[in-house]
Amino acid sequence: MTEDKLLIWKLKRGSSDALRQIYKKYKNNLLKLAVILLNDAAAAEDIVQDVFLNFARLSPAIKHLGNLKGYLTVAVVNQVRNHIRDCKRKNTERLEDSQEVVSKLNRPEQWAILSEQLKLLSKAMAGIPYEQREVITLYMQGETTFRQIVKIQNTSLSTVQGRYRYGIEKLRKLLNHEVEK
Amino acid sequence: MKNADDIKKIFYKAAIETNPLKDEKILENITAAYEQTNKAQSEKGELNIWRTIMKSPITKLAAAAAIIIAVIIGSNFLGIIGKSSVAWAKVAENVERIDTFKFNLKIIVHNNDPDKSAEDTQAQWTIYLSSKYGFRMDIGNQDNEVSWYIPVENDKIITVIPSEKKWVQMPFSRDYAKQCEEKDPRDYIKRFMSCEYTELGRQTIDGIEVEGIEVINPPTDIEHLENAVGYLWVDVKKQLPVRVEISGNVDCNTVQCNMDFRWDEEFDAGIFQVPSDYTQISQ
Repeated sequence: MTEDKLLIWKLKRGSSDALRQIYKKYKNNLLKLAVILLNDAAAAEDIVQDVFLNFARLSPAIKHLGNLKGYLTVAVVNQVRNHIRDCKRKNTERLEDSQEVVSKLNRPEQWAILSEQLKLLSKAMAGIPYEQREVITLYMQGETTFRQIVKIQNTSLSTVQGRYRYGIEKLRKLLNHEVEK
Repeated sequence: MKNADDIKKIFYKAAIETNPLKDEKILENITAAYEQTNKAQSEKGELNIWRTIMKSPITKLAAAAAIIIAVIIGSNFLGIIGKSSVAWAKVAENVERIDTFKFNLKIIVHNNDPDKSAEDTQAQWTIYLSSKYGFRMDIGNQDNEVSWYIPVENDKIITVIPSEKKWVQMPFSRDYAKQCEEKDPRDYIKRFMSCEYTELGRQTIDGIEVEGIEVINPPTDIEHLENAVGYLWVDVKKQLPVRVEISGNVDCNTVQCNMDFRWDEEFDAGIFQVPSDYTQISQ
């Protein structure tokens, strides 16, 4: 946390080096978050790049950045929601049905290199409703507390806890099913 | 798969890596975007600052003082003050509201040559700014002292030589303001902040809570300044510079520059007036 505060302090004083350090520190974490939420590595890459680009553009003007990790995490979550909404609007890919989307990795200029375990997890996560997926991912990957998720999802604590509980139950079944296969 | 802890382990083990070549490309893009924004912000800030300077007599005089000092000491130290991104915009905003301001610059040169005199050479600049009374700057060393006065409502500059009890009046050149406009503080702060620096945390200077940074070899226009270290201390509450310290070596001399700032100082009107027993010299 202290390191982040120093990075923000430097960043707000024009240090490109601080921006590079922030990128290196958080890129994997944010990519993993987006991949798990979307089960689509290409879209996750685009989203995380956009998040960093927006962060770079806006950071000098942001008055109270506060928790850097939290800020970037929420930025990714918001972009993921926008992406899902756009997809639904365009009626293109239905994420829940995109069983093999994450494996579409043999593309040129590939950025993210996913482990087999991550592919398996993303695929299983795609089988649970988005709100539940978001709670589980933020809690387990984003190290976000339930109370913080309440704010992100603009709902009640009991709803968040319920989503987590039901999501975990379903995810366990899906993962067991994958392991058995 | 038994419980949430097992799932958490899967999350933990599910690794991701990135292509380093792609990383570099992305970093190039985001750095370019960041620098472009910084530049735009800087330009915007600069315009606002200049508008403020043009609007406010007190800041106009402050700007003139900055130019005068920069010319005299042959350096751009004042750039450090104004170009801390945390402070400059605030300085511009706050100075407009501040009635008085005092700035003290002291340069001490210590000769390290054992064969020469160990006595330090000192020079000091003290500036008083008052929206009510105007501007005064005292320049002094061991042998001489000169004072400059600029009344608020007159376009003139008065030079006073206390040792001779004489003074001379000249038009206050608009060129000073022009020079200020032409100076680009962005370049200096970019140079200063692009250096590796260490956050010094908070401390108290003369009862004021300040936050500081340390820069090794800060950029200055002093030629051949070696082993230089710079410190910038900013008032946490007011977002105004409190102290700047720069030290380094030039040949066999150690140079120490200390700048202190005080805001809202109470001044006596007499400070800004030429003593009545002084004689005016014709231009």
